[in-house]
Amino acid sequence: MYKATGRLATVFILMALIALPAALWAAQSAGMNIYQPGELKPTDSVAALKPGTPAPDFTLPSTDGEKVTLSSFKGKKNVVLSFVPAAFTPVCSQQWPGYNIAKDFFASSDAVLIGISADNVPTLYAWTKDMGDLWFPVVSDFWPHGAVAQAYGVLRNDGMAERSLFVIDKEGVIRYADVHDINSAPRLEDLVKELQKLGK
Amino acid sequence: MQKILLGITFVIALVSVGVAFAKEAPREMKVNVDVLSGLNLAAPTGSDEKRYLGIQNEKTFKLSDLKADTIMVQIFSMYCPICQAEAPHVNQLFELIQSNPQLKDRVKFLGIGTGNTPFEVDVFRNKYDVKFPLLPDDGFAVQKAFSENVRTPTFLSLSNKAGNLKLNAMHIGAVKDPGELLQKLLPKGGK
Repeated sequence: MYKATGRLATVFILMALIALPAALWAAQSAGMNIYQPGELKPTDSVAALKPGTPAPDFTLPSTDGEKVTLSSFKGKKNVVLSFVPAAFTPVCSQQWPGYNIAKDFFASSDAVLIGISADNVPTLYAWTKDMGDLWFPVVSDFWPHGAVAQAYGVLRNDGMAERSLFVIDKEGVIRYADVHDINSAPRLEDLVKELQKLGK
Repeated sequence: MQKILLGITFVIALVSVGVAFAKEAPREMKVNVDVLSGLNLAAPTGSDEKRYLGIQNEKTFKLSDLKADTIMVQIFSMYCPICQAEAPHVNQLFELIQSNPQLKDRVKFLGIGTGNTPFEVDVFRNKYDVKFPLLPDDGFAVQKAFSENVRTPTFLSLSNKAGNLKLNAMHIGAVKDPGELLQKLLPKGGK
């Protein structure tokens, strides 16, 4: 009896060993490691900042080891802040690569782009490397957790930032704010239209 | 004791197999060709693209309207980093078709930008100097033809007999070697 059950156990163990590489292969076949969060509540914060108000200043660490300070662009460049909810998730993993091939639109409006997430730096580093080389800085709002997102009124109750865009002019004033449905990416042309409204 | 160990082993094995097959599901993504061929696709606006597809002034068309023995479709997204990285390879794939006298008039190749607006498709076209027609699909209509969330890029090869389309082959993911992918997509014996 024990011999029979032992053989049965061996068969199941072999099945498990065969199944494991298959699962790993499937995870790689999509090309990127993506966590599927499912459908989320479209927005989960109270918007605090409207166009016409000064943009709160911040200094945050970036994935290249430098620190990025918003006020350093004052009088020099227009700034687009792109808050995204989380690394390695489907929409976020496409939104920034989309901006990556739209650099000319930012340049023609004398604007820089800063990507922000409440993930920590190592996570953002691994994720952005997975997406290819991004031309814009990606900064971490991890600690104090989501403090910048909170200042902009886009920190969700689960600790993630809303998927949101802020266009800030050279005077440091918010000219456009889009707190978007977290489940979908903002249209590129909507942002480009707002950029085109800015004076160089 | 041995029965307990056997029970634990059984549960672990069952869960492992279950997880593996659950994750395998996308590999078996099914495409409903009847749905795909019946979709109203936005006609291209460029005159070269219209001429290539044989479209006059229609605003929309169906894949089954195209006059070609084989129709190859790349489902892509302007936002997809893999599609961006693979764009030069896909351009090479199209050049392989166009430079082959036996394929040029028998195979039509086009891209559908799933979830992309015309503006977004234009950005992709201009960035990578794409010569084949790229069509917007901002309403995710093409998703209706797939059993799973369509992954980008996905390549489909459809044989066309008097407007009756059948699936020859499907390839999901990176191209790597345009020549190899072309051979995979061509109907057997259809070089």
